Amino acid sequence: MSAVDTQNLETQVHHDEHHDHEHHEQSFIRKYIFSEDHKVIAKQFLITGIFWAVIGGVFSVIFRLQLGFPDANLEVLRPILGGWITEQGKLDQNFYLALVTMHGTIMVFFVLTAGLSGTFSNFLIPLQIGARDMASGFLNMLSYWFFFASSVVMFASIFIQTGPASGGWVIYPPLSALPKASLGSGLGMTMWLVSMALFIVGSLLGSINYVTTVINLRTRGMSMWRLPLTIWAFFLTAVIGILSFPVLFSAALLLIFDRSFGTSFYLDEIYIDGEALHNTGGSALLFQHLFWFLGHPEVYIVLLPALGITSEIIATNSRKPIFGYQAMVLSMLAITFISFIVWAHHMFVTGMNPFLGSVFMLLTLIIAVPSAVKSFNYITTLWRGNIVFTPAMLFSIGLVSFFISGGVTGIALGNSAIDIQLHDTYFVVAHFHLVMGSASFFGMMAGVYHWFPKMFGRMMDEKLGYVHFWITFVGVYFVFFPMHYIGIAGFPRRYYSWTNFDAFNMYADLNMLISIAAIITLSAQFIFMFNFFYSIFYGRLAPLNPWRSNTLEWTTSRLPGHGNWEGKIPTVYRWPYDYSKPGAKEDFIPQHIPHYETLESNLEHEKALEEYDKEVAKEEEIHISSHSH
Amino acid sequence: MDKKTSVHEDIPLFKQLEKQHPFLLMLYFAMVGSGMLFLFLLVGFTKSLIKVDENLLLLPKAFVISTLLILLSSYFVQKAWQNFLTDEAKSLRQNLLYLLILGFCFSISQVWGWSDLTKQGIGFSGKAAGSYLYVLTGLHILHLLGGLAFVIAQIANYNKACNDGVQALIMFSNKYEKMKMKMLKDYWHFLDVLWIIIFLYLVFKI
Ligand code: HEM
Ligand SMILES: [Cu+2]
Repeated sequence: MSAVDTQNLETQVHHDEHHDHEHHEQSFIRKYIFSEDHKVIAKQFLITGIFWAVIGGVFSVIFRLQLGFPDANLEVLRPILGGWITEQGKLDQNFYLALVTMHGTIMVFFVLTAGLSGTFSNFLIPLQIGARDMASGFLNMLSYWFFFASSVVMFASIFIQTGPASGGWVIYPPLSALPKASLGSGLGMTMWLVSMALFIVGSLLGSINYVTTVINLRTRGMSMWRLPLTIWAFFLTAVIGILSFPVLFSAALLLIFDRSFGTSFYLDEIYIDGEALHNTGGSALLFQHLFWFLGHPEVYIVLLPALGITSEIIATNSRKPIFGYQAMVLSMLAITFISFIVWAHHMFVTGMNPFLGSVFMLLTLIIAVPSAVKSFNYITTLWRGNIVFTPAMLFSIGLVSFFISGGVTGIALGNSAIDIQLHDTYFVVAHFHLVMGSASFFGMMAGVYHWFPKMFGRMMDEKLGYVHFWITFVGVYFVFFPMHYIGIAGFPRRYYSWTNFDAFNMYADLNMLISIAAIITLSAQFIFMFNFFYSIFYGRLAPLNPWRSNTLEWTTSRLPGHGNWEGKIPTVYRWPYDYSKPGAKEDFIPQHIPHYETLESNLEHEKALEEYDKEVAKEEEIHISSHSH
Repeated sequence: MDKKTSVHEDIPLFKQLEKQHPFLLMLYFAMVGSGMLFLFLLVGFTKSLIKVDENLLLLPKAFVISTLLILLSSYFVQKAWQNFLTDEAKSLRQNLLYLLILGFCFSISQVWGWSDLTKQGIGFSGKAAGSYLYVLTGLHILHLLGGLAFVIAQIANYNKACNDGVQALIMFSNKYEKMKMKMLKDYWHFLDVLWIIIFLYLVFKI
């Protein structure tokens, strides 16, 4: 027996013992609040993520009101926004910037990083690799509570008198470094930094746990090449997180020193009202490098989990093996690697050496190759499949659509000659909202619809799911597609008002259309929320394997308790994509079915595994009987 | 042939890592993360040097002393590890005690280096290049304090073993205890190497 096998046996023994201790009742607090169970923590992340998504979504609609209806009287919002509505019934200009900033921060970090990775890495890693829990339940719990603390600080910052941070989600200094520079650069910025520092700690604790769990706690037979693509995606996402979040931490730390301790890391020769500040020797550009060294990998931290979830859902619901499993893994590896060496494409207009710009341009365009491989593989998996259109499947297909339509503009922007024109216009906004915002959001929704039965033991309503999907899908295109045109026309992002520029007046209708579409799209999310919360309590009871899927989580009981499997953890005998295998009795063969039970469908090269699997199964038998008390 | 066929076929790196205890792996990944933090601070420091005069910065002598201290401490942690492997509870505790003292001395020496810097006119809130020296050493001390807390916990742990032969036997044959000691050793070497890299970099850059 190989060393790996012994190791796996050991962990299994350890876990079996562990399991025996779990029979006593846990108090409510240990079970639902300070829980170390990965499934409970996943739900905590999900609910917190949904909470933030509502706030982030409502913020975007408020500033869309300003952009789409610049002359409207917003007096009706006074009960909520109070002093941020001016005497004339207009949105306060400072608050507009704060809204944009908070929207970006919330969506990127709190919803699509914590809400997505936090939920699905936590929920699926142990269940799909066959582990009782994460490598360290305690650190996993801490990871959530750091996120929670960070959320509390960020939430509180919304209500302070000077308003939350308002320098954009990228918080470039010197604007963010000088508390006097704008309203939002004061206390709001301080709270932003504190919140992000907490967030980073929580995220690192999570990532370290995910990586270790995948490496160390796979059940017997679950070799790396038999991992579902979801797990590969979560694994690589966590690796990216470990390498890039510390860099954001250093950027934030230096900014904190600049703001509160008089240092000049990012400041040099600044004059305010004709008077020179004492700061010398820093570099504002350094911040951009530090920020984007995280910032670009961050876009993949957001996207990769969604891609992984989609792979799984598309294969299951096309009733076909995923096309090019290894190509999928390798392209994710390539993306992981390349994502670290393209960051300066966000900085083409900072006056960088044009030659350096062309190097980053080349690297940026190379990342399109693995991205395209993934797109092709999704499409070829769908091709001639027996497609089952569950809501999760629709959202996954929606992801593929957004990934392509948003990725194409990425290739355009990657060319510095084009980007110099389009940088900081609505074209960029359109690009990343499609490729990152909407694609990842759809991945997250797909995941919720698909794994809801495992999370809560009940089914969500399908019809409401379809309504939710179609309104959102069409709505997203109505919101973001027109932005390309506005951007090409030159309209800059983060501007409160464009009515002073005659050139943009012809776009008033288009802006209005976008805003209306945004309102409708946001409203559709409440259909989802109703469906989600209603189904938790009153949904139809879920069958054990509602989607007839191959992965291990569907071998647990309807609502698995702490420890996941009541008996022993299943052993894995095959990869997770044996769908519609010729000759097989059913159109799916779960991972825990040994080859000697599927003689009719084994391929030529799998014949050798029939004997092998028999031996493994026998060893497992002995193992159990020697451990039964 | 198809990868799916063989169960044994796996990625060699993972095979290595799989054999480690999860907590040890987590420590390694945390060290990688910390490494990134320091790496990019060094990058920032390098960039800031462009904006200062050649001979504005002087490396405090105290940093040289710190370097010797931490090298010595690494020697003791290695000895403590040997003691664990050969079941010598008393010298194990002794060596950890030396480690603790050296660690404290190191931190004090670093702070002494700060006062040297201030005397040279390089304040924390002066030119950016000077501020980096404070941040780099400060963060390193924070990492080291974490290590010292761990050392204290381990000393308390081995106190029991020192007075009781049976306890010692249980402790030295316990895999988990061994892993804890290995964590301590590896982390301390990490702190050591980290400081040496920072120190050498400063020596060559200033
Ligand atoms: C084919 C692959 C891609 C290429 C070549 C590409 C290229 C670019 C370029 C050059 C920019 C900078 C535009 C500017 O600021 O002037 C940009 C912005 C952005 N991209 Fe992409 N991109 C790609 C895929 C992605 C993916 C997959 C995501 C997210 C998952 C993403 C998210 C973003 C974000 C968030 C921004 C804007 C950041 C900001 O300034 O606030 N991109 N992209
Ligand atoms: Cu980028």
